[in-house]
Amino acid sequence: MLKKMENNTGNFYIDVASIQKEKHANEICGDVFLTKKVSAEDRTIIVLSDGLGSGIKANILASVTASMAVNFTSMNAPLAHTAEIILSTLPVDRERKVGYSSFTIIDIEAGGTIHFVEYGNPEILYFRENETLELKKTPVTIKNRFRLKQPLFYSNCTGRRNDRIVVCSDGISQSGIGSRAYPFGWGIKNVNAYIRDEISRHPGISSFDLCRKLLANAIANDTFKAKDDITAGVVYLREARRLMVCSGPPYDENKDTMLARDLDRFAGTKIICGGTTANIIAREMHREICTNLSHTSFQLPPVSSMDNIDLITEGILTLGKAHRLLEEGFKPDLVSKDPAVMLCNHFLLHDEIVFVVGTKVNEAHQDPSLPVELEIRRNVIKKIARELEDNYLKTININYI
Amino acid sequence: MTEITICSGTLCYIMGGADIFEIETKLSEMYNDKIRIKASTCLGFCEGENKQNPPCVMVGNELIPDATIEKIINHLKRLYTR
Repeated sequence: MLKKMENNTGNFYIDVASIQKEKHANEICGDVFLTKKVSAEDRTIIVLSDGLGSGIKANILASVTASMAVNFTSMNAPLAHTAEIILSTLPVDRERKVGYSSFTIIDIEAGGTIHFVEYGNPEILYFRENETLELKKTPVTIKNRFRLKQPLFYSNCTGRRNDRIVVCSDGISQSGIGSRAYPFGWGIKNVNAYIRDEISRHPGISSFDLCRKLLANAIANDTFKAKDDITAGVVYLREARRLMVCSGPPYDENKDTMLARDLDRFAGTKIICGGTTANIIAREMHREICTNLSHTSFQLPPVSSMDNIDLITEGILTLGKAHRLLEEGFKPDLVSKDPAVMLCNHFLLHDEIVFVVGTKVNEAHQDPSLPVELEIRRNVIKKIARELEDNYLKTININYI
Repeated sequence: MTEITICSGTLCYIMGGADIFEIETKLSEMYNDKIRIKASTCLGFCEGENKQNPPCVMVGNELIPDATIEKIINHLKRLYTR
Protein backbone atom coordinates (compact mmCIF):
# COMPACT_ATOMS: atom_id res chain seq x y z
CA MET A 1 0.00 0.00 0.00
CA LEU A 2 1.37 3.40 -0.85
CA LYS A 3 0.20 6.81 0.10
CA LYS A 4 1.56 10.26 -0.47
CA MET A 5 2.12 12.54 2.49
CA GLU A 6 3.32 16.06 2.86
CA ASN A 7 4.59 17.43 6.13
CA ASN A 8 7.07 19.93 7.45
CA THR A 9 9.88 17.38 7.32
CA GLY A 10 9.53 17.27 3.54
CA ASN A 11 7.34 15.19 1.25
CA PHE A 12 7.36 11.50 1.79
CA TYR A 13 5.42 8.47 0.76
CA ILE A 14 4.16 5.80 3.06
CA ASP A 15 5.17 2.43 1.71
CA VAL A 16 3.41 -0.28 3.73
CA ALA A 17 3.86 -3.98 3.18
CA SER A 18 3.14 -7.12 5.14
CA ILE A 19 3.79 -10.80 4.79
CA GLN A 20 2.32 -13.77 6.60
CA LYS A 21 2.81 -17.47 7.08
CA GLU A 22 0.44 -19.72 8.96
CA LYS A 23 1.63 -22.11 11.67
CA HIS A 24 2.75 -25.45 10.23
CA ALA A 25 -0.17 -27.77 9.36
CA ASN A 26 -2.70 -24.94 9.65
CA GLU A 27 -4.69 -23.71 6.71
CA ILE A 28 -5.15 -20.13 7.79
CA CYS A 29 -3.07 -17.56 9.62
CA GLY A 30 -4.21 -16.51 13.08
CA ASP A 31 -2.68 -13.02 12.68
CA VAL A 32 -4.42 -10.25 10.78
CA PHE A 33 -2.75 -7.21 9.26
CA LEU A 34 -5.08 -4.42 8.11
CA THR A 35 -4.48 -0.99 6.62
CA LYS A 36 -6.91 1.82 6.01
CA LYS A 37 -6.52 5.11 4.23
CA VAL A 38 -8.75 7.84 5.64
CA SER A 39 -8.70 10.03 2.54
CA ALA A 40 -10.66 12.95 4.01
CA GLU A 41 -8.10 13.45 6.79
CA ASP A 42 -5.08 12.15 4.85
CA ARG A 43 -4.39 9.53 7.49
CA THR A 44 -3.09 6.00 7.27
CA ILE A 45 -4.05 3.45 9.90
CA ILE A 46 -2.22 0.16 10.22
CA VAL A 47 -3.21 -2.62 12.59
CA LEU A 48 -1.64 -5.97 13.39
CA SER A 49 -3.61 -8.35 15.55
CA ASP A 50 -2.59 -11.77 16.80
CA GLY A 51 -5.48 -13.99 17.87
CA LEU A 52 -5.17 -16.43 20.75
CA GLY A 53 -4.04 -19.87 19.58
CA SER A 54 -3.91 -20.66 15.87
CA GLY A 55 -6.11 -21.62 12.95
CA ILE A 56 -9.66 -20.44 12.26
CA LYS A 57 -10.44 -19.52 15.87
CA ALA A 58 -7.37 -17.30 16.10
CA ASN A 59 -8.12 -15.77 12.74
CA ILE A 60 -11.65 -14.85 13.81
CA LEU A 61 -10.39 -13.28 17.04
CA ALA A 62 -7.71 -11.35 15.17
CA SER A 63 -10.11 -10.27 12.38
CA VAL A 64 -12.64 -8.94 14.88
CA THR A 65 -9.89 -7.14 16.79
CA ALA A 66 -8.16 -5.67 13.75
CA SER A 67 -11.32 -4.41 12.08
CA MET A 68 -12.59 -2.87 15.32
CA ALA A 69 -9.21 -1.27 15.98
CA VAL A 70 -9.06 0.20 12.47
CA ASN A 71 -12.61 1.52 12.59
CA PHE A 72 -12.50 2.96 16.12
CA THR A 73 -9.15 4.61 15.39
CA SER A 74 -10.40 6.12 12.14
CA MET A 75 -13.34 7.58 14.10
CA ASN A 76 -10.88 9.08 16.62
CA ALA A 77 -12.39 7.13 19.54
CA PRO A 78 -10.51 7.45 22.87
CA LEU A 79 -7.80 4.84 23.10
CA ALA A 80 -8.68 3.20 26.44
CA HIS A 81 -12.32 3.03 25.39
CA THR A 82 -11.37 1.36 22.09
CA ALA A 83 -9.25 -1.25 23.86
CA GLU A 84 -11.92 -1.99 26.45
CA ILE A 85 -14.61 -2.44 23.84
CA ILE A 86 -12.38 -4.73 21.78
CA LEU A 87 -11.48 -6.93 24.73
CA SER A 88 -15.01 -7.24 26.01
CA THR A 89 -16.35 -8.04 22.53
CA LEU A 90 -13.98 -10.89 21.78
CA PRO A 91 -15.53 -14.35 21.90
CA VAL A 92 -14.28 -16.50 24.80
CA ASP A 93 -11.97 -19.38 24.03
CA ARG A 94 -13.65 -22.58 25.30
CA GLU A 95 -10.39 -24.18 26.42
CA ARG A 96 -8.54 -21.25 27.88
CA LYS A 97 -11.64 -19.44 29.16
CA VAL A 98 -10.34 -16.09 27.96
CA GLY A 99 -11.11 -13.86 25.05
CA TYR A 100 -7.81 -12.53 24.04
CA SER A 101 -6.06 -11.09 21.09
CA SER A 102 -3.09 -8.75 21.05
CA PHE A 103 -2.93 -5.73 18.78
CA THR A 104 -0.68 -2.94 17.57
CA ILE A 105 -2.12 0.23 16.05
CA ILE A 106 -0.10 2.72 14.01
CA ASP A 107 -1.92 5.90 13.06
CA ILE A 108 -0.01 8.22 10.71
CA GLU A 109 -1.50 11.72 10.50
CA ALA A 110 -1.25 14.18 7.63
CA GLY A 111 1.12 16.43 9.59
CA GLY A 112 3.57 13.57 10.06
CA THR A 113 2.65 12.76 13.67
CA ILE A 114 2.53 9.04 14.27
CA HIS A 115 0.56 7.49 17.13
CA PHE A 116 1.37 4.01 18.38
CA VAL A 117 -0.74 1.74 20.51
CA GLU A 118 0.77 -1.53 21.68
CA TYR A 119 -1.04 -4.32 23.43
CA GLY A 120 0.61 -7.69 23.85
CA ASN A 121 2.53 -7.90 20.53
CA PRO A 122 6.34 -7.70 20.32
CA GLU A 123 7.37 -4.07 20.64
CA ILE A 124 7.33 -1.74 17.65
CA LEU A 125 10.78 -1.11 16.18
CA TYR A 126 11.36 2.41 14.86
CA PHE A 127 14.43 3.02 12.70
CA ARG A 128 15.94 6.39 11.86
CA GLU A 129 19.30 6.80 10.13
CA ASN A 130 20.23 3.23 10.94
CA GLU A 131 19.56 3.66 14.64
CA THR A 132 16.64 2.30 16.63
CA LEU A 133 14.62 5.16 18.03
CA GLU A 134 13.43 4.75 21.62
CA LEU A 135 9.72 5.53 21.73
CA LYS A 136 8.64 7.09 25.00
CA LYS A 137 5.84 4.80 26.07
CA THR A 138 3.04 5.80 28.38
CA PRO A 139 1.23 2.89 30.04
CA VAL A 140 -2.57 3.04 29.93
CA THR A 141 -4.36 0.64 32.22
CA ILE A 142 -7.52 -0.98 30.96
CA LYS A 143 -9.71 -3.76 32.23
CA ASN A 144 -11.26 -6.45 30.17
CA ARG A 145 -14.38 -8.21 31.27
CA PHE A 146 -12.37 -10.82 33.21
CA ARG A 147 -10.73 -8.13 35.26
CA LEU A 148 -7.38 -9.12 33.82
CA LYS A 149 -5.27 -6.01 33.78
CA GLN A 150 -3.29 -5.84 30.58
CA PRO A 151 -0.48 -3.39 30.02
CA LEU A 152 -1.30 -1.14 27.07
CA PHE A 153 1.22 1.38 25.85
CA TYR A 154 0.75 4.59 23.96
CA SER A 155 3.53 6.52 22.29
CA ASN A 156 3.96 9.03 19.49
CA CYS A 157 6.61 10.70 17.38
CA THR A 158 7.00 12.81 14.26
CA GLY A 159 7.93 10.84 11.17
CA ARG A 160 10.77 11.91 8.92
CA ARG A 161 11.72 10.88 5.44
CA ASN A 162 13.57 7.53 5.39
CA ASP A 163 12.19 6.40 8.76
CA ARG A 164 11.06 2.79 9.01
CA ILE A 165 8.62 1.16 11.39
CA VAL A 166 8.61 -2.60 11.83
CA VAL A 167 5.85 -4.49 13.57
CA CYS A 168 5.72 -8.24 13.94
CA SER A 169 3.80 -10.98 15.67
CA ASP A 170 5.47 -13.27 18.21
CA GLY A 171 5.86 -15.82 15.40
CA ILE A 172 8.90 -13.74 14.39
CA SER A 173 10.33 -12.85 17.79
CA GLN A 174 9.84 -16.35 19.21
CA SER A 175 10.90 -18.21 16.08
CA GLY A 176 13.49 -20.89 16.69
CA ILE A 177 12.39 -21.35 20.30
CA GLY A 178 13.93 -24.49 21.78
CA SER A 179 16.61 -24.62 19.11
CA ARG A 180 20.30 -24.71 19.93
CA ALA A 181 20.87 -21.31 18.32
CA TYR A 182 17.92 -19.58 20.00
CA PRO A 183 16.73 -21.60 23.02
CA PHE A 184 14.44 -18.72 24.04
CA GLY A 185 13.55 -17.72 20.49
CA TRP A 186 15.09 -15.25 18.03
CA GLY A 187 14.18 -12.39 20.40
CA ILE A 188 13.19 -8.83 19.55
CA LYS A 189 16.77 -7.62 20.26
CA ASN A 190 18.14 -9.96 17.62
CA VAL A 191 15.32 -8.99 15.22
CA ASN A 192 16.23 -5.35 15.82
CA ALA A 193 19.94 -5.98 15.15
CA TYR A 194 19.10 -8.00 12.03
CA ILE A 195 16.95 -5.21 10.59
CA ARG A 196 19.58 -2.55 11.34
CA ASP A 197 22.14 -4.68 9.55
CA GLU A 198 19.82 -5.17 6.55
CA ILE A 199 19.09 -1.44 6.33
CA SER A 200 22.76 -0.52 6.52
CA ARG A 201 23.57 -2.99 3.73
CA HIS A 202 20.52 -2.08 1.58
CA PRO A 203 19.56 1.51 2.47
CA GLY A 204 16.80 1.60 -0.17
CA ILE A 205 15.26 -1.78 0.68
CA SER A 206 11.51 -1.74 0.07
CA SER A 207 8.99 -2.55 2.77
CA PHE A 208 8.02 -5.74 0.98
CA ASP A 209 11.60 -6.98 0.62
CA LEU A 210 12.31 -6.34 4.28
CA CYS A 211 9.12 -8.23 5.24
CA ARG A 212 10.16 -11.10 3.00
CA LYS A 213 13.58 -11.32 4.61
CA LEU A 214 12.15 -11.28 8.14
CA LEU A 215 9.75 -14.07 7.23
CA ALA A 216 12.46 -16.15 5.56
CA ASN A 217 14.66 -15.86 8.66
CA ALA A 218 11.87 -16.71 11.06
CA ILE A 219 10.90 -19.78 9.06
CA ALA A 220 14.53 -20.87 8.85
CA ASN A 221 14.80 -20.48 12.65
CA ASP A 222 11.80 -22.82 12.93
CA THR A 223 13.57 -25.32 10.64
CA PHE A 224 11.10 -24.55 7.86
CA LYS A 225 8.01 -25.60 9.84
CA ALA A 226 6.56 -22.45 11.38
CA LYS A 227 5.89 -23.09 15.08
CA ASP A 228 3.44 -20.19 15.28
CA ASP A 229 1.57 -17.85 12.93
CA ILE A 230 4.10 -15.40 11.55
CA THR A 231 3.43 -11.82 10.41
CA ALA A 232 5.86 -9.05 9.58
CA GLY A 233 4.71 -5.54 8.65
CA VAL A 234 6.96 -2.70 7.54
CA VAL A 235 6.17 0.99 7.07
CA TYR A 236 8.75 3.00 5.13
CA LEU A 237 8.46 6.80 4.85
CA ARG A 238 10.40 7.35 1.68
CA GLU A 239 11.03 9.69 -1.18
CA ALA A 240 8.59 9.43 -4.06
CA ARG A 241 9.66 7.24 -6.96
CA ARG A 242 8.64 8.89 -10.21
CA LEU A 243 7.92 7.34 -13.59
CA MET A 244 7.11 8.91 -16.95
CA VAL A 245 5.45 6.83 -19.65
CA CYS A 246 5.27 8.35 -23.14
CA SER A 247 2.94 6.69 -25.59
CA GLY A 248 1.82 7.87 -28.98
CA PRO A 249 2.98 10.59 -31.36
CA PRO A 250 1.85 14.16 -30.61
CA TYR A 251 -1.16 15.39 -32.60
CA ASP A 252 0.91 18.32 -33.80
CA GLU A 253 4.29 17.35 -35.24
CA ASN A 254 5.75 20.62 -33.99
CA LYS A 255 5.48 19.23 -30.48
CA ASP A 256 7.82 16.30 -31.18
CA THR A 257 10.84 18.23 -29.90
CA MET A 258 9.02 19.26 -26.74
CA LEU A 259 8.00 15.66 -26.06
CA ALA A 260 11.57 14.40 -26.50
CA ARG A 261 12.98 17.17 -24.33
CA ASP A 262 10.44 16.68 -21.53
CA LEU A 263 11.13 12.96 -21.43
CA ASP A 264 14.88 13.43 -21.52
CA ARG A 265 14.84 15.92 -18.65
CA PHE A 266 12.41 13.99 -16.48
CA ALA A 267 13.83 13.23 -13.03
CA GLY A 268 12.88 9.60 -12.65
CA THR A 269 12.36 6.43 -14.65
CA LYS A 270 11.50 6.82 -18.35
CA ILE A 271 9.47 4.45 -20.49
CA ILE A 272 8.27 4.66 -24.09
CA CYS A 273 5.31 2.53 -25.20
CA GLY A 274 5.11 2.60 -28.98
CA GLY A 275 7.53 2.13 -31.85
CA THR A 276 6.63 5.36 -33.63
CA THR A 277 6.99 7.34 -30.40
CA ALA A 278 10.40 5.72 -29.82
CA ASN A 279 11.39 6.64 -33.37
CA ILE A 280 10.38 10.27 -32.76
CA ILE A 281 12.40 10.49 -29.53
CA ALA A 282 15.40 8.79 -31.17
CA ARG A 283 15.25 11.20 -34.11
CA GLU A 284 14.93 14.27 -31.89
CA MET A 285 17.65 13.19 -29.46
CA HIS A 286 19.94 11.80 -32.20
CA ARG A 287 20.06 8.41 -30.55
CA GLU A 288 19.86 4.86 -31.79
CA ILE A 289 17.24 2.28 -30.94
CA CYS A 290 18.24 -1.32 -30.51
CA THR A 291 15.52 -3.98 -30.58
CA ASN A 292 16.13 -7.10 -28.54
CA LEU A 293 15.42 -10.24 -30.56
CA SER A 294 16.13 -12.74 -27.81
CA HIS A 295 12.72 -12.61 -26.10
CA THR A 296 10.00 -12.93 -28.70
CA SER A 297 7.80 -15.58 -27.15
CA PHE A 298 5.23 -13.56 -25.21
CA GLN A 299 2.71 -12.86 -27.99
CA LEU A 300 4.00 -9.31 -27.91
CA PRO A 301 6.58 -7.50 -30.03
CA PRO A 302 10.02 -7.47 -28.34
CA VAL A 303 11.35 -4.64 -26.17
CA SER A 304 13.96 -2.18 -27.39
CA SER A 305 16.55 -0.01 -25.74
CA MET A 306 17.93 3.50 -26.14
CA ASP A 307 20.37 5.58 -24.09
CA ASN A 308 18.78 7.32 -21.10
CA ILE A 309 15.47 5.41 -21.53
CA ASP A 310 14.72 2.61 -19.10
CA LEU A 311 12.30 0.59 -21.24
CA ILE A 312 10.86 0.74 -24.75
CA THR A 313 7.90 -1.48 -25.62
CA GLU A 314 5.43 -1.71 -28.47
CA GLY A 315 2.32 0.39 -27.85
CA ILE A 316 -1.24 -0.80 -27.92
CA LEU A 317 -0.83 -4.59 -27.62
CA THR A 318 1.58 -4.28 -24.69
CA LEU A 319 -0.55 -1.67 -22.92
CA GLY A 320 -3.62 -3.88 -23.45
CA LYS A 321 -1.91 -6.88 -21.88
CA ALA A 322 -0.54 -4.72 -19.04
CA HIS A 323 -4.10 -3.59 -18.31
CA ARG A 324 -5.31 -7.21 -18.21
CA LEU A 325 -2.47 -8.15 -15.83
CA LEU A 326 -3.26 -5.26 -13.50
CA GLU A 327 -6.95 -6.12 -13.56
CA GLU A 328 -6.21 -9.72 -12.57
CA GLY A 329 -4.11 -8.55 -9.58
CA PHE A 330 -0.48 -8.17 -10.57
CA LYS A 331 2.43 -9.27 -8.39
CA PRO A 332 5.92 -8.04 -9.41
CA ASP A 333 7.97 -10.60 -11.31
CA LEU A 334 11.45 -9.22 -11.78
CA VAL A 335 12.68 -12.26 -13.71
CA SER A 336 10.12 -12.26 -16.53
CA LYS A 337 11.11 -10.89 -19.93
CA ASP A 338 7.49 -10.43 -21.01
CA PRO A 339 7.28 -6.76 -22.09
CA ALA A 340 3.88 -6.29 -20.40
CA VAL A 341 5.16 -7.79 -17.14
CA MET A 342 8.26 -5.56 -17.32
CA LEU A 343 5.97 -2.56 -17.80
CA CYS A 344 3.73 -3.57 -14.86
CA ASN A 345 6.81 -4.10 -12.66
CA HIS A 346 7.72 -0.46 -13.27
CA PHE A 347 4.16 0.66 -12.49
CA LEU A 348 4.27 -1.12 -9.15
CA LEU A 349 7.74 0.04 -8.20
CA HIS A 350 6.85 3.72 -8.56
CA ASP A 351 4.57 6.09 -6.64
CA GLU A 352 3.93 8.97 -9.02
CA ILE A 353 3.27 8.03 -12.63
CA VAL A 354 2.96 10.58 -15.40
CA PHE A 355 1.48 9.41 -18.69
CA VAL A 356 2.24 11.61 -21.68
CA VAL A 357 -0.23 10.49 -24.30
CA GLY A 358 0.15 11.48 -27.92
CA THR A 359 -3.32 11.92 -29.42
CA LYS A 360 -2.51 11.30 -33.06
CA VAL A 361 -4.72 8.38 -34.09
CA ASN A 362 -3.06 5.66 -36.12
CA GLU A 363 -5.67 5.18 -38.81
CA ALA A 364 -4.21 1.87 -39.94
CA HIS A 365 -5.14 0.49 -36.49
CA GLN A 366 -8.82 1.24 -37.04
CA ASP A 367 -9.18 -1.08 -40.05
CA PRO A 368 -12.10 -3.43 -39.18
CA SER A 369 -10.50 -6.27 -41.14
CA LEU A 370 -7.58 -6.61 -38.68
CA PRO A 371 -7.40 -10.03 -36.99
CA VAL A 372 -7.48 -8.47 -33.51
CA GLU A 373 -9.30 -5.44 -32.21
CA LEU A 374 -6.93 -2.58 -31.49
CA GLU A 375 -8.25 -0.17 -28.91
CA ILE A 376 -7.67 3.53 -29.03
CA ARG A 377 -4.54 4.32 -27.02
CA ARG A 378 -6.19 7.04 -24.97
CA ASN A 379 -8.85 4.61 -23.71
CA VAL A 380 -6.40 1.88 -22.71
CA ILE A 381 -4.24 4.35 -20.83
CA LYS A 382 -7.29 5.76 -19.04
CA LYS A 383 -8.21 2.22 -17.93
CA ILE A 384 -4.64 1.52 -16.75
CA ALA A 385 -4.58 4.82 -14.87
CA ARG A 386 -7.88 4.05 -13.13
CA GLU A 387 -6.67 0.59 -12.19
CA LEU A 388 -3.38 1.94 -10.80
CA GLU A 389 -5.13 4.67 -8.88
CA ASP A 390 -7.93 2.59 -7.38
CA ASN A 391 -6.30 -0.76 -6.75
CA TYR A 392 -2.59 0.01 -6.52
CA LEU A 393 -2.91 3.42 -4.81
CA LYS A 394 -0.63 5.24 -7.25
CA THR A 395 -0.73 8.96 -7.95
CA ILE A 396 -1.44 9.37 -11.65
CA ASN A 397 -1.23 12.31 -14.01
CA ILE A 398 -2.24 12.07 -17.65
CA ASN A 399 -1.09 14.78 -20.06
CA TYR A 400 -2.42 14.73 -23.61
CA ILE A 401 -0.16 16.11 -26.27
CA MET B 1 26.70 -9.73 -45.03
CA THR B 2 22.98 -9.17 -45.62
CA GLU B 3 20.87 -7.66 -42.89
CA ILE B 4 17.32 -8.89 -42.43
CA THR B 5 15.29 -6.32 -40.51
CA ILE B 6 11.94 -7.49 -39.22
CA CYS B 7 9.49 -4.71 -38.42
CA SER B 8 8.07 -5.26 -34.93
CA GLY B 9 5.49 -2.46 -35.16
CA THR B 10 1.98 -3.32 -33.98
CA LEU B 11 0.42 -3.82 -37.40
CA CYS B 12 3.28 -5.91 -38.83
CA TYR B 13 3.35 -8.01 -35.66
CA ILE B 14 -0.35 -8.92 -35.71
CA MET B 15 -0.44 -9.42 -39.49
CA GLY B 16 2.07 -12.28 -39.34
CA GLY B 17 5.32 -10.59 -38.28
CA ALA B 18 5.26 -12.59 -35.02
CA ASP B 19 5.92 -15.80 -37.00
CA ILE B 20 8.82 -14.25 -38.93
CA PHE B 21 10.84 -13.98 -35.69
CA GLU B 22 11.21 -17.76 -36.00
CA ILE B 23 13.16 -17.40 -39.28
CA GLU B 24 16.52 -18.18 -37.72
CA THR B 25 15.39 -21.74 -36.96
CA LYS B 26 14.20 -22.25 -40.54
CA LEU B 27 17.26 -20.99 -42.41
CA SER B 28 19.79 -23.28 -43.95
CA GLU B 29 23.24 -23.31 -42.28
CA MET B 30 24.80 -21.99 -45.45
CA TYR B 31 23.50 -18.52 -44.50
CA ASN B 32 25.09 -18.58 -41.03
CA ASP B 33 27.91 -16.20 -41.88
CA LYS B 34 26.09 -14.38 -44.67
CA ILE B 35 23.14 -12.82 -42.90
CA ARG B 36 22.32 -11.00 -39.71
CA ILE B 37 18.77 -10.93 -38.35
CA LYS B 38 17.54 -7.99 -36.37
CA ALA B 39 14.25 -6.44 -35.32
CA SER B 40 13.23 -2.84 -35.54
CA THR B 41 10.58 -0.57 -34.12
CA CYS B 42 7.93 0.42 -36.73
CA LEU B 43 9.65 0.92 -40.07
CA GLY B 44 6.78 3.17 -41.14
CA PHE B 45 5.80 1.33 -44.35
CA CYS B 46 2.23 0.78 -43.11
CA GLU B 47 1.24 4.43 -43.47
CA GLY B 48 1.45 7.23 -45.98
CA GLU B 49 0.61 7.32 -49.67
CA ASN B 50 2.85 4.44 -50.68
CA LYS B 51 1.81 2.21 -47.86
CA GLN B 52 2.61 -1.47 -48.11
CA ASN B 53 0.86 -4.54 -46.82
CA PRO B 54 2.17 -5.66 -43.43
CA PRO B 55 4.22 -7.49 -42.27
CA CYS B 56 7.19 -5.68 -43.76
CA VAL B 57 10.74 -7.01 -43.74
CA MET B 58 13.85 -5.41 -45.17
CA VAL B 59 16.40 -7.73 -46.76
CA GLY B 60 19.40 -5.55 -47.28
CA ASN B 61 17.99 -2.44 -48.93
CA GLU B 62 15.05 -4.23 -50.45
CA LEU B 63 11.59 -4.15 -48.91
CA ILE B 64 9.51 -7.30 -48.79
CA PRO B 65 5.86 -6.43 -48.08
CA ASP B 66 3.33 -9.07 -47.04
CA ALA B 67 6.35 -11.01 -45.85
CA THR B 68 6.46 -14.65 -44.88
CA ILE B 69 9.45 -16.81 -43.95
CA GLU B 70 9.08 -18.57 -47.31
CA LYS B 71 9.18 -15.29 -49.23
CA ILE B 72 12.32 -14.18 -47.37
CA ILE B 73 14.07 -17.50 -47.96
CA ASN B 74 13.22 -17.37 -51.69
CA HIS B 75 14.59 -13.85 -51.82
CA LEU B 76 17.81 -14.97 -50.13
CA LYS B 77 18.14 -17.88 -52.55
CA ARG B 78 17.86 -15.50 -55.51
CA LEU B 79 20.35 -13.16 -53.89
CA TYR B 80 22.97 -15.84 -53.28
CA THR B 81 22.59 -17.82 -56.51
CA ARG B 82 23.10 -14.85 -58.77
